[in-house]
Amino acid sequence: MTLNDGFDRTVSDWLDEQAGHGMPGYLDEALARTTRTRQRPAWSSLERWLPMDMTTNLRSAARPTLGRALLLGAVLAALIGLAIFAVGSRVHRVPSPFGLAADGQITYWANGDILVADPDGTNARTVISGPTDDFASGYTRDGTKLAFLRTVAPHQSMLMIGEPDGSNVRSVLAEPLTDADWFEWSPDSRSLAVVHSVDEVRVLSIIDIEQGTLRTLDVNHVVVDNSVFWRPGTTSELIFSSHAGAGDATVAAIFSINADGTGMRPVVPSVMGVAELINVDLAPDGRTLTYWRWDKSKGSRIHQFDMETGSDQELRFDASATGETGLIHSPDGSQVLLRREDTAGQIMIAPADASRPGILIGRRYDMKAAPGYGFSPDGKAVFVTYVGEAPQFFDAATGAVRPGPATKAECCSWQRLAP
Amino acid sequence: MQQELVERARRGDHDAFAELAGAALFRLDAAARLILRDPDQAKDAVQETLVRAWRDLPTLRSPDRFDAWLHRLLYRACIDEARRLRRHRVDVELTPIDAPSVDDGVSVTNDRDQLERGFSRLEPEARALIVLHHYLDLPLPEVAIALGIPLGTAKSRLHRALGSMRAALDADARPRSEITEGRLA
Repeated sequence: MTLNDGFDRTVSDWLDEQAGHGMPGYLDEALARTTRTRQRPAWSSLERWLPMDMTTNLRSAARPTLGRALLLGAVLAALIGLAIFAVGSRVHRVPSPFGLAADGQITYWANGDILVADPDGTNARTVISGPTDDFASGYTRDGTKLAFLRTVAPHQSMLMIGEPDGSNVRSVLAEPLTDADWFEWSPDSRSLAVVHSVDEVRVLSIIDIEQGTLRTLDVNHVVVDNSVFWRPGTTSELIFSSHAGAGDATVAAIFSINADGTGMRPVVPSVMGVAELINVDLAPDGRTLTYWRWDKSKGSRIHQFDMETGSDQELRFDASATGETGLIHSPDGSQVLLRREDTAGQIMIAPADASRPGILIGRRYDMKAAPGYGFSPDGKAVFVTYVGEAPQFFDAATGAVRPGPATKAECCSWQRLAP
Repeated sequence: MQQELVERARRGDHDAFAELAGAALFRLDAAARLILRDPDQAKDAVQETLVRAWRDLPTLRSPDRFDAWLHRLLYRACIDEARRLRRHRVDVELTPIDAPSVDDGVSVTNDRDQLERGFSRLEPEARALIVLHHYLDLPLPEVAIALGIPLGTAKSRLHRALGSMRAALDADARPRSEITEGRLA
C-alpha cells in the first residue's frame, strides 16, 4: 500500500475541515497569564562569565646525556631557573577570584559570531566565525579562557571553551545543555555552576571543565532561578534563589548549598504566597547579599541581607522612584548599579550604602525592554546595552560617556587581568 | 515584520508578543484541538504554550525560527497535557458502533467518520506528527525537529500513522462480513 495515492490529500482536507475557522476567544486570558510571567534573561548575566582555571603548562625538560653532563647540567639549571620564573610570573598574573582586577579585552557577539575589542573599545575583531550560531561569550574568572555557547538545535547548545584569541576551541561536554542561561565560574576556575532545564525543570548543575562532566545537584525539588553565585571568601559554597509551588502556595527562598550537593540550607527567610525573591547579588566581601523582593501586599523593594547577623534592611536609592531593581555590586563593593523606574526606567550608579543620591546614566528606556549592564573589572567603567543598539560605556565616577565598541551587539563580558 | 515583532518581544516588549500570539492563536488552537481531541485540553495546552513562549523568548537565538520553535512548544504542551490526563483517567477503548455496510454506499460522511476513528485511535504523539505535517504544512525535517526525533524516525512514524488511518478506511470499504467485530483499540 502506498500512501501518496491521494490519501495524503484526503487527510489534509479532513484536518482542515476538522480544524474549523472560528477564532478562539481566550487570547486575553492567555495574555493575562503571560503578563504575570517573568521572562528568562537571555544572557543578562554576561558578566557571569567570570574566571576559569589557571592551568599552567609545566614542560618536562630533556635529560642530558652523561657525556655532556657538565655543560647540559648548567644549561638545565638555567632552564629550570627560567621555568620557575616563568611559572611564578604566570601565577602572579592571574587575578584574585573576587574583587578588583585590571581591564582586559571585551567580548561580545553579533549575528552568530564572537567578537573581541580592546579595553577602550577599539580594535574590534571577530575571533569565532563561520556557519555556527555562537553566542553568550565570556571570559573565565582568571581571564585565561574564552567560553561561549553554540546552538545545535532549538533550546540546545554546546558549552565551548578556547583561548581568548579564539584558538583551540573545544566542547566541554559530550551532550548539549537545554535552555542554559546562567553560568558562574567557581573561585578556582575549574568548574562552572550552570542553571539549565532537565525535563522542563530548572536545575542547578556543576560542570567540571577538565573532566568534561556534569553533576546536577539535589535541591529538594525547588525550581532554581537565574541567580546563582559562588560565595566570595569560600571555595565551594553556592548561593541561589528559588521558588516552589504555584499561586498562593508559592514558596520563594534563597538557599546556600555546597558544590558537592551537601549542606543545603535557607539563607534568607522564605516567603510564602504570591511572592518572589530574585535578582540576588553578593557583595565581594561575601558577607552581605542583596535581593529584590516582591509580594502582593507589600510591593517591590531591594533588600540587603547580612549573612552573618541575619539582619535585613530595605535599600532606597531614590525616594522619588516608584521602583528600584536589578542591583549589582561593583568589583570593590563600594558602588552599585541598579534600574531606577517610574514611568520609564534609567540606569543609576550609586554608593552601595545608599548614603547619597546616585547618578543617572544613559537614556530613559521603556521598562518592557530593560537593558543589560555591568562594571568593568577595575570598577572605573560601566557598560549599558540597550535593546538593539551598540553598547554604551560610562565613567563610573562621573557618569560621563566613554568610547566603546560601535557594533550593534549583545554585550559584554570583560576579561579580568591581574592588577 | 514578524522578525521585528519577535525581536521586540524577546527583549521584553509584551505588546509585540501579544501581536505574535494573536496571529498564531488560531492555528495553535486548531492544531491542539486536533492533537488532543478536546477543546478544553487544547485551550490549556495553547495557554501553556504561550506562557512558555513568553518566558523563554529571550533564549530564542534566531528570530526567523520563531514559528518552528512555537510549534515545538505546542507539541510539548500537548503531550504534557495528554500525559497529565492519562494519569487521571482510565483509558476508554473505542468500539465501532453501527459500522456501515457497503450496501449503505461509501459516502463522504462515512469516510470522515472512519478517518475520525482512525485518527482518534492514534497516540497523541502520532496525531501531532500528522497535524504538524498535514495541517500546519511543516516539512518533515521541521516536524522531526519539533518532535525531537531523527528525520528517519519521523518518516517511518508518519507512514505508520497514516497507514493506520488508511486501514480504517479500507476496513470500511470491505464487505460487512469481513469486518472483525469487537474492539478496535
